[in-house]
Amino acid sequence: MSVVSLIDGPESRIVQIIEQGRGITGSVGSNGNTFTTHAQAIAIAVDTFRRIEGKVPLDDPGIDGQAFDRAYHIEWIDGDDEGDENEYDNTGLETLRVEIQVGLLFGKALANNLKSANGETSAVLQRPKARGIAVGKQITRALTFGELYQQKDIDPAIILAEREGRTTVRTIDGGRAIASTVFRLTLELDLSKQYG
Amino acid sequence: MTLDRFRAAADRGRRAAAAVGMRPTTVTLRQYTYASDIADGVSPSGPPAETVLSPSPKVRLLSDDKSSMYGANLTASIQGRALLNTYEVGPITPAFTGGGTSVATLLGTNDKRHRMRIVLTGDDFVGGSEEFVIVKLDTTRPIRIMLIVQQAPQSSNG
Repeated sequence: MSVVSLIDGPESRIVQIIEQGRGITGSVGSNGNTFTTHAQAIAIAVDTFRRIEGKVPLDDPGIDGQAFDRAYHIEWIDGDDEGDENEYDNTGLETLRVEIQVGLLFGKALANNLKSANGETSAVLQRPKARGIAVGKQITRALTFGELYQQKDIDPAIILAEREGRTTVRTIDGGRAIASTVFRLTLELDLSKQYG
Repeated sequence: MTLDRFRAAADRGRRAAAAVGMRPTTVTLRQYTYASDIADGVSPSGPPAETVLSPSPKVRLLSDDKSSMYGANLTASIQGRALLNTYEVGPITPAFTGGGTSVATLLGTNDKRHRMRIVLTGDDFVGGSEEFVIVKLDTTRPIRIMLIVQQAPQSSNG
């Protein structure tokens, strides 16, 4: 029996929404779904965020400054089936929590490495917490908007995405800050398959 | 005697040391250029521009005590631990009329689409050469520049 990855499908959807402009043009591609103008307004434009090189957590001191600003990292936290599913049923639910981290640089000396978007000015770029809260909201709106995540072209499909708690911003060494937002994703599993 | 002549004299001394084989490690400046912002899966847009420092400066291992989730290049001695080795490079003769290396040349361009690496080539490095980044630059002395370099994350080596 082939094993289906529990993580790869949902992670690819997160990458599509945060980085690849899913929903921005109204078309979803091969399966022919289209997005409403409301979804298009919420979708995040391509080149707003970039995935951190090497897919490492953003607090790693080995990360180059050039690769840090507006880089995001997907950190899977935990999983839970809440213990109440019938294992002979065909479908089951799994709830995963995932943290989306976004790296932000601050300090004028690092201006060369800043990746500004949405008309950010240098004054805004010196306020990492304000910037972090703003990018947290931007990602939250896109990632929890049903139209953008709900298509069942991934397995397991995401049937519910909600933010859990608040967006927090912490500063670390070297003029760097990390904006962190936790999401709770409810996935629909086909229990005739093996997930691993 | 002007500073230029002091530097030229120092450079001749350093060339003499390199000429008799006292500087076995070759130091190369490698400038990468990217067509889009540096990110996962993004490769440089072409082969990097390389400049070999001449004469080869002294290179000395300082420490191997830093670690990173990235891991550095896989030196033969790390035994499965990801350590970032630190080396001292120098003295390098500052720029003078007819030779030397300017600070700007050593630092190269570093921004979202440019990345400078220092390549050390010699027996101490796996595969013959490994990439480093400058973590400290000392230009307070008139006839020498000293660099502290640390192994670069392996995933970003071009």
